[in-house]
Amino acid sequence: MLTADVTVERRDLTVQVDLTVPAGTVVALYGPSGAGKSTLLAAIAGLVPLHAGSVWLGDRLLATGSAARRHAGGGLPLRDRGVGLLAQRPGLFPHLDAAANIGYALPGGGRDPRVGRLAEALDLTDLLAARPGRLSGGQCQRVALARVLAAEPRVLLLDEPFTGLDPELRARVSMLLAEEVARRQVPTLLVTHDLADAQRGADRIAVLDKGRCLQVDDPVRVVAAPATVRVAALVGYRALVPARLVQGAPVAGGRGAPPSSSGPLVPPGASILGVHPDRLVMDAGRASQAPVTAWLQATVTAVRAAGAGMQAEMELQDGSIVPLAIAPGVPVPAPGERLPVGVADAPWFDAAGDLVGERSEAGARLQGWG
Amino acid sequence: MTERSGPQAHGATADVRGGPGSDPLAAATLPGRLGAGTGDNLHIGYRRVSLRFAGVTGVVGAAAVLLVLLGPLGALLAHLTPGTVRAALAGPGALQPLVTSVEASAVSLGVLVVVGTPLAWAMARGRLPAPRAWETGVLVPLLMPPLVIGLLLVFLAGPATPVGQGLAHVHLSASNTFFALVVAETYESAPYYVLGAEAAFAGVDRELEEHAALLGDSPARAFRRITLPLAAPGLASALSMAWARAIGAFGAVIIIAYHPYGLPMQIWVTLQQSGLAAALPFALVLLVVALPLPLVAYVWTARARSDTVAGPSGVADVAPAGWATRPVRARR
Repeated sequence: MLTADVTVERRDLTVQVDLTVPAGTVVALYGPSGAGKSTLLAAIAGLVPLHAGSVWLGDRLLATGSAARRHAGGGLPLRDRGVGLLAQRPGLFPHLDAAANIGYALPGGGRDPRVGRLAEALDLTDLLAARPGRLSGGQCQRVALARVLAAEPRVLLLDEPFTGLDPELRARVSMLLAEEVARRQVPTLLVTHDLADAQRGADRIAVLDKGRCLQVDDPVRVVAAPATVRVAALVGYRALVPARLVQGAPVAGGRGAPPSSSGPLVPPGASILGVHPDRLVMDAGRASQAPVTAWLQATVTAVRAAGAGMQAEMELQDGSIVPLAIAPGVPVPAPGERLPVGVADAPWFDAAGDLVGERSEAGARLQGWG
Repeated sequence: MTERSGPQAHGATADVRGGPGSDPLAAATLPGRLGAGTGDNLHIGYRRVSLRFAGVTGVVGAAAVLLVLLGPLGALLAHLTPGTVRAALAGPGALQPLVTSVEASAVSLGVLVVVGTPLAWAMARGRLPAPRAWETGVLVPLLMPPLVIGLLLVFLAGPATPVGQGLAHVHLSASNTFFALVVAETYESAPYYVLGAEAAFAGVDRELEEHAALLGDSPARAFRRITLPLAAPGLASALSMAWARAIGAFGAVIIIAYHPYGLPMQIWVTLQQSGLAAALPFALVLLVVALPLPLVAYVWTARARSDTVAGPSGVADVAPAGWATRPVRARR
């Protein structure tokens, strides 16, 4: 188990995070660029000194920021930490070929049998004799990952391991990682700015912003129940609508939708509704089956093709614009048309921006989130 | 794109070498810029012509520089025949200065490698307090006229000084001995090696050393497996430069190590006693001994650089520091 309770001073930012990664699980550090994700990773790896706090791997103290221990170099020397770091820049050794890079930490070097196995798993077999200078960015990334895995580290720190990989390789890499983590029970931290990557590869997601950890939750709840409006904005909520604009039923004059049976379900204390594009419904007939929290009046500003279907840009009454996927079989609206849109199972926030109500049960109970 | 990068790239190379080739290039691209707005095709055509003009001017300029630089070498070869060389070198003891010079320079370089390499590494990695002071200290022997170095060495380590007396205790003397020759050559060549080696180490990306450490290497092992191989071409060119300086050292040598004759002293003495023609064969010998090492190192550095310069993988910045950048640093 990796336990990091650290404060790192960066020139423009103080990163202060308390995080636990149990053995054999993957925690994704998710957040916008500049949130301090890579800094946190570097601090745990030992490349950046801690200002305060400590990093423990099981009962081994990897790093500390306490004045008493700092004279001893702030923890274990890098070579004894057992940290496998895949940095944003792959940092391959330019004078060694790919095989020697992968086998750098192995007794057999580039000829170690593990090199061949990892190269095969990552589709690198044909490139083993090439120097890094001849490899593409994505190939370098994979060689670097193989080098990290070959060393059999006790903790894995992966900074954007999927960038520069096409979808097939992405799947291959994430499968290999999942296997390794499960087989060797390594605590793993995965940095990403892509929520889909975080949800695909991680057991838990830690949302980082401006050096602080805003929420640590499982991949479903982090989106279903964002702790604050800031988390909501980070995980894809496109609009935060004031409660006064919310209606209990679709406005008449729309598409002839029947009035909803329930009134506006504004919980006590709630004043802001989070609107996520994936939870918007347009057709009232279908929406009646989904747990629609509220209805909003919206104007179609544009309609365009999106993948195999169509997508409408909806301008809500507060001026925010939300994309809405038009379900198959639903008539495509014309630009300028005013429509009621339903928001299914949306979170409410109070005036301070904090989540209202205990959504742990609601989130799990409601169909589609669980 | 190529239209733009062409002259810039040329200009950059010319700047590094400090040659006069950069000026005609810069001037030649100027009409191209002024020609903007006269219609795209015309503009491009004009630029192409101006570039071709720039290219021709550049080549002619570079050839002129080369001619001036290599002129003396040509003159030397023109004035020598195999017969005169053979006759000069066949005299009794004629090859002894060569042996002395090679031995003394080898010892100097040994000292430099042992003492200068760690110093250069520490300077490159910012491990020393007051880094400016260290750099200045290394630069001083480079900036001081060699004759002055010789004079000051007499005052520092001459027989009457405390240092000289200390040396006498271990049966050494820094005056007209082989040891004195080594001291003088070391002083004259040290800046070339230390500054070159510093640049070579500074060119090695620290992240690579950190990765090696995270993969289990001790600092010494990471130095051996990563830092040294990546800095090696730069170190080699620094070393060969130091070799050329050491074996050709004259200013300090004539003051504190008139005897035993090394090659430069041999040339000087022959020139004084027998005239220009008699000295020329020894000049050829000196060149033959001094030049091959730097040339080999230069070729190796160039090859190593083209090997490690990377495409899109972000490792381009670890190309070893080499010959081209070194004189610029030294002149600073």
